[in-house]
Amino acid sequence: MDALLRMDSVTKSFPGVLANDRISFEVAEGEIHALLGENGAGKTTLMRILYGMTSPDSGTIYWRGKPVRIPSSHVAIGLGIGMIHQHFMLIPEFTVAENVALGLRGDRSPLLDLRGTAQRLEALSAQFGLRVDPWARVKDLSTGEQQRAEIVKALYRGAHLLVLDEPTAVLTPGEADELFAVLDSLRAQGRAVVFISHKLREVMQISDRVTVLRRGRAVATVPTCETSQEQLANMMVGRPVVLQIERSPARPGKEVIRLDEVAIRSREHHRNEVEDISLTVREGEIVALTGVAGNGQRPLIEALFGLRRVSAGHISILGRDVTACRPCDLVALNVGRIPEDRQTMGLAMSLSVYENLALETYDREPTCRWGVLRRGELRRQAQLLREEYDIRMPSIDLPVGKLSGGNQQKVILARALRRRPRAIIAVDPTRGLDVGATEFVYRQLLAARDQGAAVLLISTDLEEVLCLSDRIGVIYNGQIMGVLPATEADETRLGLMMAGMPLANMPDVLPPTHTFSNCSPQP
Amino acid sequence: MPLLAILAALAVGGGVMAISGINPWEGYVAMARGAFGGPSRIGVTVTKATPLILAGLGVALPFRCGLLNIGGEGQIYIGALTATLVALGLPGLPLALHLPLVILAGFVGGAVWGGIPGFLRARFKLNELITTIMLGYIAFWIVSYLVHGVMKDPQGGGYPWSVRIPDSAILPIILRGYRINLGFILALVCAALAHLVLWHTAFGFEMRAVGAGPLAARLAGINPERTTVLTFALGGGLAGLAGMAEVMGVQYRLSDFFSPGYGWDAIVVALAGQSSPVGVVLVGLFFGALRNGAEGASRSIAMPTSISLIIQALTLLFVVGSNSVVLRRAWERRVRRRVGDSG
Repeated sequence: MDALLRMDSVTKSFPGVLANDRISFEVAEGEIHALLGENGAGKTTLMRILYGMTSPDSGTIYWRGKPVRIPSSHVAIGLGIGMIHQHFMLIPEFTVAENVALGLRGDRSPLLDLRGTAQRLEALSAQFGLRVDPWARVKDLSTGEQQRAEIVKALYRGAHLLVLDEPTAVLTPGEADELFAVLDSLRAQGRAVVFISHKLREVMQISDRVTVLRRGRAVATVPTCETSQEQLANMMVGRPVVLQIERSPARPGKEVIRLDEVAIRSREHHRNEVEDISLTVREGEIVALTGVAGNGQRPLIEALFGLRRVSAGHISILGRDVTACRPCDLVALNVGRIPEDRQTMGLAMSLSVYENLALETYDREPTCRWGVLRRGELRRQAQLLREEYDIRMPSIDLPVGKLSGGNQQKVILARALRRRPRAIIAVDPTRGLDVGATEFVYRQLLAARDQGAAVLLISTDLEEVLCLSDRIGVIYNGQIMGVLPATEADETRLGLMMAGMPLANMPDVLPPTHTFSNCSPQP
Repeated sequence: MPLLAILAALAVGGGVMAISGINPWEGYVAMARGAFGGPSRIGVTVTKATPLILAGLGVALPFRCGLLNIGGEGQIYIGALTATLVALGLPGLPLALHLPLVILAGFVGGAVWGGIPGFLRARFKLNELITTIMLGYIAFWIVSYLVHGVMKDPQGGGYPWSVRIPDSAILPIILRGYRINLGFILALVCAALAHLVLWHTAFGFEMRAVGAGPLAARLAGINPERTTVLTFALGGGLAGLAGMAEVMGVQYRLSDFFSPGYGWDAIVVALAGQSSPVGVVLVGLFFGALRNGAEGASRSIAMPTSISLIIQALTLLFVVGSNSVVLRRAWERRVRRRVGDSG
């Protein structure tokens, strides 16, 4: 069988970096081929070459057996290649049908034939099980729906090969499952998919073959059924990765973080977004709050961070009532906070690394006296943090926006943990990080716990939750369904709670499942 | 980069001169002579630069905090008004006491006028673009109303201007041969202070942090609302000083036409100066020289003075262009290709 697409020793260098070093890669019809690699391994560059967004220095691309040149995205689309970017290329004010028709000439050109577009869209939707309303405005759609609109848009343009760049990074677990169902039906109908990811679990779940990239080189291409998460992880980072993080049993002490019947009223709709949330975290333990995204985590996080008022209940941290606190009070109380969104909540992207590291502490002695900053001292402290937290960068004077995601997260981590906080609130602390950086974050949080900090981990990543926490609470529709010790948590129980069944209502005997606490890989 | 932009603007400006029938070389020589040919010419250049530098700082500092202060013109008028009121209202004081009060009044007036949009933005999330422009018109018409009415000089021959300010409120000439007054020194001191505030104080750090990432700054314990109001007040105060310096150092009377749009030019100065106090001083001096030079050239070789405005606009255009990511990338590609060819 001849491959649909074959890329033959493609090489691309940027000043100082060999982004792609003689990479060969092929995709067959009816295949989901995963492209796996850490951030900066060259996945995105390779796909940008395929989509005509950059030109390779050397190498050949064969499409249906014939060599082709792809100087622009236009040519790529013409061949039948569709690309779903991480950041959607949709106009929010337009409907799905309008977005799809954008840039195309219909049969009734120059008149717009939106109705015809919508009809064909619906046919495509039915064919591939892609639920999307052609007449809905994009801005009213959820992220998962917007992604489906992007996929439908690519299919409408005749895409035979779909490239999805980290498609699940923006999705909730539920939405990810829906996406996988769509990919399944694409495969069943003979289309090809390139699935770019660094999440081992998903790659194992969805792909037929995996090509692993490391530092610009293709390390190996293997059939998925003949490999394992460990093997892939090793290939990715080039050394055995301890996905199984060893941890000592928790030695919980006094109560540190306490939520008492917290309710938060929605500003637009007159209902509670969060209701009756009670939770405690003691020193020396990690308590996770998990659940499908959009079940009240955001308002709760905003309240915990002092960005939003609660409408009922109390929050106390380290014995202080912080219900009506502002962020500066939490800084004064030394609460370590790792927000979910690095680029807007975590960092001031255009400020230098050392200034970002000092964002919470700049106005104290010895870095500041009488309102005057001592830059030498700021930079000296930053150098120490850079070594302690292994932040890799050419210089601490660089804008933090120029760092990779993993190193940006290390900057946030260093800032949150530098004063050895007794209370830590971490929200999705490893979102978008590769295996190496994820492991680093896990180790730091566990070390903080072992030194007696109370850690509240609010995360949608089940693997992470099972790997790190001592107790696990599940939030659904703004309410806590129950809190389990991690040793009693299994996927079935958590799954039922995430779908809205309170722990109290659960039958004692559940069908047997694999307990996989401590991150043992899926069988 | 800004230097290249200025050279490019001068080159294209030369082309404009050629089109209008002036030899560019002669044109620029005449302009240079007009701007720098002799102590008095240099003095005028520097004096013209003074309000541009002060008002330019008034735009540059808020810009660092993510705020666009395009109402400098209004803050200039109010600063000039409050300074004039103190100058005329407290006659008989010794210069050592009167002048500092007048300067302070100019700053406070501008700071209040700048603080209002800052407060409206911080408290009600009102867009400062609109509020600063509107407050600019209000300020102008307040001054216009006063100098046509109660403040009008009865012996002014019908002109809408105030009584001449007393000598104790005049910014003294410090370099007699050059006719450079204290206002220019004040502008340089303000630029130096602005530089220190921006890079060496906690407040300046807060300003830049709020500008670079308002939410991240808030989460780190900085109060963005407080920073917004204070920054805007500071910017307005600097623009107010520009108005004070023009009335107390050059015109000696308040009128409703004393500013030929310094507040607007300040935006160009701040942007072309990359919002850095040093850049603002350099660009302010350049624009001062440009105007003075154009006036000189119009007298000596009858060159239209609008050439200077064209070059000023071109400078901004080229600075904005040099900041364009697309153009910069294209340029780097070209350079790389050329390097690749030779190697």
